[in-house]
Amino acid sequence: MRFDKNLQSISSDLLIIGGGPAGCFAALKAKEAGVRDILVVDKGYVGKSGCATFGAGSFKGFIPQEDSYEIWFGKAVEAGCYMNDQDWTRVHLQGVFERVKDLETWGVEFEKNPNGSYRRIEGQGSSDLRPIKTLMFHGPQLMHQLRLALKRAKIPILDKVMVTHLLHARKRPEVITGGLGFHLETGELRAISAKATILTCGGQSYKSNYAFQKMVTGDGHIMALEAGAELSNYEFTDHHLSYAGFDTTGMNVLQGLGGIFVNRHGDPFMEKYDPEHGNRANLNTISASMAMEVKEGRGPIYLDFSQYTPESIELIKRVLPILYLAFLRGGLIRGDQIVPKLEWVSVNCGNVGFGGGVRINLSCESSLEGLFAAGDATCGPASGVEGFCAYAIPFATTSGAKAGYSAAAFIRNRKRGYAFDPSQIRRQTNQLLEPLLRKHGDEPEVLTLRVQEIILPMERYLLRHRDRLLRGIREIEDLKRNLLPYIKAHDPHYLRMAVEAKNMLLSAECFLKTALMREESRGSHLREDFSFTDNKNWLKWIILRQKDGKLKFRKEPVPISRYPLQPSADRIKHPIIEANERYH
Amino acid sequence: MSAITEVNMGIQKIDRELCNGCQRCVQICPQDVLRFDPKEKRPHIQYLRDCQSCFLCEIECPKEAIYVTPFREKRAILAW
Repeated sequence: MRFDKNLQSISSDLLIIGGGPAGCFAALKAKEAGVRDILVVDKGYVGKSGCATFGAGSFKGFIPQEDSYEIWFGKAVEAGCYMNDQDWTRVHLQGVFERVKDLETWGVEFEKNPNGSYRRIEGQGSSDLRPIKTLMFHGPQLMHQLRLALKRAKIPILDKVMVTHLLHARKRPEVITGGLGFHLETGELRAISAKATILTCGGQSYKSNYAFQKMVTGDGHIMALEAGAELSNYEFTDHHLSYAGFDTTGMNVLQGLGGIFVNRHGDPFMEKYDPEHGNRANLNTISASMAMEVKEGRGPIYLDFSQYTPESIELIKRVLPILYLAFLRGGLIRGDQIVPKLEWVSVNCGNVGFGGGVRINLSCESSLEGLFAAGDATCGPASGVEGFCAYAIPFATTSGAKAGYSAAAFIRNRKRGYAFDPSQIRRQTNQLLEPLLRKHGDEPEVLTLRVQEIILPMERYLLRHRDRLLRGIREIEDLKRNLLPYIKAHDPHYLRMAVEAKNMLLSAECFLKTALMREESRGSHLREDFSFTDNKNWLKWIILRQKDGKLKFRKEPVPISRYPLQPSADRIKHPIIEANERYH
Repeated sequence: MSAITEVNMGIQKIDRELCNGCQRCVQICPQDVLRFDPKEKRPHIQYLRDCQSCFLCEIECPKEAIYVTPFREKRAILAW
């Protein structure tokens, strides 16, 4: 396989790395704001790649005419465990319905009632007392329409080009001026110069056993980290849920339609751990409750579908067509019936949907000049620890639009771009191509599996403890020294896998080190050795960046006193630990 | 060459008789699993290990030539 070392240089005003909903919104809004020369680059095929393509039919959109702002804002901050940037939570909620309207203008269909109003169900985080209703869209149709919208707006797309490095301006390392990448089939290198760059290439899924996220490998997080940008919220992870037999998705809808979590004895247990939400609790609450049941010897855990009707199956077919097909192929749906009880597991889904990523301000600017971020590539400021209200796709639309407008304003004020630093391009090119030159290295898969062994067991990500986190960090550091420098790639496809494995390794390091640092329990961050939420000492964001090849950490207080909502107590026992002690 | 490329997991087969060589599956695969053979004018499964059973190739195929199973491959490091 020829791997062309000759660089193909491309120039644009605005480079958007990642063509999911955040990237498409950024491109379309920047175009509206007058940016002429925009380029959207994706390692997959825009419209068919990224986790939103497989978006599980639910869209937590606040509708001003139907919903209570106080309930939505209050619950978003509650689920965010007060780690939200509450300004962002407000901006997100105030803007999201406008984005729903944009989507409809571009041809995205939402479920409607016969009278034309939105058909909504109560998924995660909803309760009779404080209902949070989700809109429903038709799975892959959303991203399909967004690609068509880009085409109509005549915005060029580069598919199958994986950007791996951000480019710095000559003599101005704090300024980002484009990106470097390669084509997955031809291997040709592309250096793309831009006045502004927006990272919209998603979060980090660790390729875990949650459906259709294997392409989500923290690419934006790690290229930003390596370029010197700040990341935040990396200790907060998304604890998703899947069928044990194969990877599935769609929890909002599966819970909303009346799925009940039961233990080995057939006993429903969620009311015990979360009396208000029960089986509609948030993901980290259900995951932690499942872990407690398993730890107490009452595993495995099942999802009981006995309340499902033929209409439930019809709805799954419409809003979760891919899950429906998987269930059908797997023999779990026959006719209009679903197997009544299936084994269900928690999954460390990294920071897909919320949690760690590039730190941004209200204008989606990162800590580096000319670099913006939106969607899952960010630290999820509207969500904090967990974000049922600002779930991935809705936040991608609001932050994507914001990033597009902000980058347009930035470009207007910058007459011409900075020149590349050629020595940096040479260095990065050599670094990128190294795995292709190794004859006797190890396959990327070896590194991927080792990283997964370290962070996917429940006692590493779900029930955390200092000793285990320290062991995990030592294992990661060993891989950095003794395996990462020896990963080989046969061709450009394997080079992608090698870069992804490296990104997984470095994300896992950020996760374990920040999780060790935070000596308290807060939402998905459950520490067996620090069982209280400590609002006195830990209402702080952990911010990390890389300097001279090493991670540097700092803590920044959440400006809670100027926010609308404050926690009611200084110290509260983590509700799952408290419930477990009460019942056992 | 058999008419059907068949394996046991992920993307299970591409029926070479039904396939019209349009390359849509190669173009859209999020995991870059497929490649097109210009001589045979048919796609083939080049990187099976990376298939995530997302069904997109099957759904998008205009000739219904592709069959995917949801069952994950055995995630073990094999000797060869």
